[in-house]
Amino acid sequence: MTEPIDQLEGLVLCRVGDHRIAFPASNVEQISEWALGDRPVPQARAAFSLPPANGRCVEDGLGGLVVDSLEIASDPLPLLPVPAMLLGAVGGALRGFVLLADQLCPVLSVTEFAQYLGRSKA
Amino acid sequence: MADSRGHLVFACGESLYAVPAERAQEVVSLPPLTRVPGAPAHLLGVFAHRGEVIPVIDLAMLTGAKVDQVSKRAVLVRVARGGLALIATRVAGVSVLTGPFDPLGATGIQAHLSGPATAPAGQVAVIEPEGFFEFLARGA
Repeated sequence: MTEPIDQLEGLVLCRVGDHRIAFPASNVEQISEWALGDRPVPQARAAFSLPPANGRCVEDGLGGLVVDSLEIASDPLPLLPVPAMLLGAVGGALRGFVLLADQLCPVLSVTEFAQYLGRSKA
Repeated sequence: MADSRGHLVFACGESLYAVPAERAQEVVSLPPLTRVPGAPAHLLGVFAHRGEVIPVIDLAMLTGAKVDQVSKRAVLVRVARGGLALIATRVAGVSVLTGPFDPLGATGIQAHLSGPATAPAGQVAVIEPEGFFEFLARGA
């Protein structure tokens, strides 16, 4: 068994289609509404081969991206480490995984995930 | 030429594969998987197993073979840097293989498969676990 490497105090849990992703709450500076036709922002849906849709824009100081919907989880959760095979996945944006209702949820860096989505689009 | 080490032989789609038995940790029933954003199609997702996050690989998709069966079982393979689960549509058991054990190709995933070796279940492609793992880690 691998020990959790960290404890996360606060998560922004996001829905992207049928998928869930999360960002450390400390990593998020601003959340706003986003609609098709607004200024271009990388879409998390693109990482799951889904078409763009209205949603919420999650930003840190350096970048932002759009998710379908979100909620804040304040309970501390153990962060499971990224398996060695996936250390380079998602452009290095993966910070680990948390277990939510017995299912893993990837925890990502906002900036690096946004950069990854921007590169993938290009 | 025979390889006296036992190999776990399993099917993925229409092809048979073998992994050295000492690297095959167990055969697991898969829970619902979590997709990794931006992951290639052959990386079906991840699941938690005894506190560790395990990536699940579909060899049929990886090798471009026909994918006509969905399986909820996988062979958990352990290498020095971690574990991975390989989808198994059928597990044929542990066998001693006879050669050849030549690489099936010079590049790509084929460079980390050898054979075609022979097992009682039929002709198999033998997985070289460490190189296979590193190849996947570069492309994940």
